[in-house]
Amino acid sequence: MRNAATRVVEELVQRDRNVLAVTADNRNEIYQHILEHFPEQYIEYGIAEENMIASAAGLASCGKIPFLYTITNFMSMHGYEFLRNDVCIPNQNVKFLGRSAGLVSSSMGPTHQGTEELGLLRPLPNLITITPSTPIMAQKATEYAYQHTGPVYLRLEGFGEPEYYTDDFVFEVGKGYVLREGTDAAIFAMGSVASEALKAAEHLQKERQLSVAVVDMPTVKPIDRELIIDYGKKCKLMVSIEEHSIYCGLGSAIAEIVAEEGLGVPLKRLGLESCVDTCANRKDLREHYHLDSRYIVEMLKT
Amino acid sequence: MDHRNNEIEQIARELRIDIAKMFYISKTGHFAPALSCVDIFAELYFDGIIDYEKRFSEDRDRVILSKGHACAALYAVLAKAEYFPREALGSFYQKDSLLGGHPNVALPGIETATGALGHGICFATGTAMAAKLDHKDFYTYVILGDGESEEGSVWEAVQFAGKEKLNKLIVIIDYNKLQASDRVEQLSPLEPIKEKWEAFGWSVLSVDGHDFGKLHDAFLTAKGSQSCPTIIIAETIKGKGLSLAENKPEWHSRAPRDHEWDIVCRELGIERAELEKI
Repeated sequence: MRNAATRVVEELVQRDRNVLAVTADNRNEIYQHILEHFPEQYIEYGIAEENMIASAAGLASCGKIPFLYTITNFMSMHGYEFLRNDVCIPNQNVKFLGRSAGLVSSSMGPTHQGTEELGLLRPLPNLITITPSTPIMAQKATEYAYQHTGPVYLRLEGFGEPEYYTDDFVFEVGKGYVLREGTDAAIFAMGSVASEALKAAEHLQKERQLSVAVVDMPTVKPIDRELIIDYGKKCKLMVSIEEHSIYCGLGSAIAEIVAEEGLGVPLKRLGLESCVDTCANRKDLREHYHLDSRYIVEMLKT
Repeated sequence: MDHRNNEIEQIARELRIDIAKMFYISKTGHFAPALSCVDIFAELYFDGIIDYEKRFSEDRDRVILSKGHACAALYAVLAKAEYFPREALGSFYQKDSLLGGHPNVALPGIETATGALGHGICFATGTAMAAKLDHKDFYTYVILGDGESEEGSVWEAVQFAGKEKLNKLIVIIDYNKLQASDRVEQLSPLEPIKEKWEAFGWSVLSVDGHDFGKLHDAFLTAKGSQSCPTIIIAETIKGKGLSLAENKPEWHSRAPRDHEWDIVCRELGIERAELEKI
């Protein structure tokens, strides 16, 4: 999905002279291509995220639309105060493409695993944070980011995520997308880990005759409150799943609504309880943190 | 030149009176930091350095107070330069005011909200870069603190501006040698400033930050730079103009109290009753 998002930037650069491809020593092949063919719309800040973000706010204040691409932790954590004070509070038109969100970085360790930044980003004023689940959603969300005036942050994973959408997909902020209907339990998923939920739901239908809904939730602020209430009322159990901390991500956002609305439905949150603490590939990490389809099946079959 | 200097000196004197009145209302805030850089602002706004005619246009010169806590000086200057009605100065630190303890972008003349240090100069590299990309003529001026230069982000900005040869970026460092708790050289020595900035590809000028003629010449030289950004090291006195606050670390974030106002009024040449009239 990284390439799906940056390819949109490449198209925009050719359509709008104010669009800028910006990075802090983290160009991918598409940004490399922009540098070679449209050097006047490419800015390299070097490994200096704080300056990159505040400088992007300065560029935006002069009418530019910078798309900042780098590792999500470096952008959101290293640059946090700059994102907050210089971009979000004054509502500057800066777009963030934070790559390596979730458990994409496999054996790279906790410095590179983007598993807490939603907790930092969600309270910020004016900022819309999107965690796309598939390449097509990443593409549509990037197009949305350009149309929207104000800061937008995309938490992008990596390559080859399963696709559930088609080219006519319309992205809408604050909307959850029902990937599968169900009435026994509802799984709300953030990011490509929705594929584990889908696999589990299919298995449970076939082997156990259980009807499990799967909902794709790319945004938690604004959040699709109506959809959560709807499933909270009709299902016996709700589950959230995310390659992110359970303390400040999708699960905690759903818990707020379940409590505020007095739904009384049990909610099981699947996610990380700490930073990544082991070295493994992504598949093994999902297993280790109980984010795989097998664990979901075990949990729901009883 | 002398005649012009006298005129600006008079303006700076009036600005110091306005600043005193603001602190008489607020009873709190960063008094000495404002007095340190108010002459620099007077020179920038009242001696033909910034393009006053374009002040509300897209192509306006940008002035960014990176050391945002000195905002009282900027508010006083902006009011005198008629960016907003001067009565607003009376709302300094008051409920619902746009003139709080750090700059607010909703106030005319404020480009970005500073307060956390090491941000304004980074923002400024963006406005200067935008000018370069669009071949525009506007300048970006940054008033940077000396203590503020301890922030790592300042050096990220310095490095980037040097690399991009942002010749329309002009930084004035308010070199008063004091920071919040002590002398800069005690906390984290900055010297050699000149060599450091030169090493990053900047042109460096050094002037007495309270001498309008010298500041004027330095600004003209900086504006003429064709190939690199410029820093003007302005040697200043924190609390300048009011003896009780000059060069005293404890005056970083306090206002005069009680009988101290009599001293302030005496040195500014005003009656105490005048403090209440904005």
